[in-house]
Amino acid sequence: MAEESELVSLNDLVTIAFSLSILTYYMGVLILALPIPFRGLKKWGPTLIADGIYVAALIFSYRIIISVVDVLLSYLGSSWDGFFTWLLSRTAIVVGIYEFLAYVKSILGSSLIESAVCVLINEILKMLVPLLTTIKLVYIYSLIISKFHQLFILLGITLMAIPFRIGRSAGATLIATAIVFYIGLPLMPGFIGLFESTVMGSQIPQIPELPSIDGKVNTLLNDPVSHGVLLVIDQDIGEAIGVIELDNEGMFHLGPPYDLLPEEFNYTIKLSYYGFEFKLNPPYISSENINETVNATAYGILKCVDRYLAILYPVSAAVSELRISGVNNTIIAELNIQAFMETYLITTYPSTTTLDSIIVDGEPYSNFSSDQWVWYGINGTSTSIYISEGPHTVKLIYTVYSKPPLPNVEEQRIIAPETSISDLIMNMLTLVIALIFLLILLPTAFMMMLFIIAASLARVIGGRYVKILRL
Amino acid sequence: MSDLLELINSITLSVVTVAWALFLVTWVVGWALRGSPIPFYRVKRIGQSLIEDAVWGAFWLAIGSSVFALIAYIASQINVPYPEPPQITPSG
Repeated sequence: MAEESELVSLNDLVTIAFSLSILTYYMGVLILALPIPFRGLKKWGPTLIADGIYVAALIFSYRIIISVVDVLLSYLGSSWDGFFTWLLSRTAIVVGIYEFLAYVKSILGSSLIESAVCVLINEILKMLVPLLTTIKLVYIYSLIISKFHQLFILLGITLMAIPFRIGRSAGATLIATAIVFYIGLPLMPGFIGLFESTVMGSQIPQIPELPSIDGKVNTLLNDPVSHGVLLVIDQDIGEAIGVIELDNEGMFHLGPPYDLLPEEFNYTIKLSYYGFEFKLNPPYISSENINETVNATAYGILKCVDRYLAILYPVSAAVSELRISGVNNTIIAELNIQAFMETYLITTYPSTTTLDSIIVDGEPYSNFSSDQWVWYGINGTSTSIYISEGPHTVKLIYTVYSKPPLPNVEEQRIIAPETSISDLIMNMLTLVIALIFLLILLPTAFMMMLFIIAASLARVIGGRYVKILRL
Repeated sequence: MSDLLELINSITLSVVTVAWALFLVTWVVGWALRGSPIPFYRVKRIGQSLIEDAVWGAFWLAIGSSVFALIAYIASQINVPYPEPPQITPSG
């Protein structure tokens, strides 16, 4: 007797049951010795004596019963560990479906395509709750049986030992239930497995994986474009269906839990940064990139210095060298430019940065123009510096006053128009109905079966109930 | 726990004591009825059955502890030892 330091230890119960059986026996003897010659009363004498002996035999075979039950369990090829694993795996499936649907719903909730599909999802979600409840119930019930079946058997024997057969049927039921369920419950996976293949096909249902794409946007010199805005444009419609803010490292993530990408797509991507829009290389993301990492380069941006400033790549010119140096809050950028024809060098910066001086070929320079821009709530300036044909060195001196605020981007995530969603939901519905059959109806039927078996076994153990009234 | 056990044991003890006493009473009453000068066959038959019951009772009383000891012994032969059966002594 291993795991009993509970309220009533099994040993104590054995002793109590044994004392009770002795009491029953002597009660029988007492009745036999009564000088009252009533047949009905006298009949109780031998009955009680026999009961006392029977229960005493039961008490001493209690260990044998337990081990026989264990042996039967192993003969039937089932184990409690396997059963619990099975229960957990089924719970995982249901929870997975739940999460998936809740997630799809949350995505759809923020788009215009909700209504019909959302109603359907709500219905399925509602069905899942009783499913989980049933599994949980079976789980708790099994936990109780597997942990306390010895206690139940002993308790049943103790009840049976009470004189005058008061607890006889209750005790027998307890014993029979403990035995039958201890052997029977782990057989449930096998029982349900018989139907599983017909209901669901051969494989355990897979929750569909939603497509996702990760990516990063760099400048020409491989700096991350931190907190830039990625525009995802559907070529068919010709407008942006996704507006996605890059993170600090210039990374973006398309897919769960924000986006619902269609199965087939080919979108143009562009970068919006500090008042400008840049083409990216590669210019497209398509369904071929699913589950890949896309490294997009904005060739239009030569250099980003954190978020303080950006220098754009001059058209029809070559930049042979770029040095960035900084002291305190001063940033100095020096470029060697070979211009093939007259061109402009553009630098753009938020209002927390100022461009203090421009030195071209060692001379202070004034041939430039500035434009103000507002970009996602950030004010800034872009300065275009005229560069004549030929080689030049340009030195730009900036002062940084504070860290620029983050852009206030109202993100627009990509929700695939209808496409596969309805199919997906319909599949889910079929799956959930199959699960309801498998995990509510069948377990209930199985438990009923076990109860019926337990009831008949209780009759075998307890015998027919003797009516005290017939005394 | 031990309270309950003590209660059961004390009840058993008094039941055994009373049973012994009753056996004597029944035995005596039985013989009295049987030997009484009343010529009713039914009365004499009741006396007879009382004596029989009393003797059976006494028999079961006497071998009671042996019966349980026997069960415990058989069980111990086919299994690990069990808690010693509580000893009931008729003398109380």
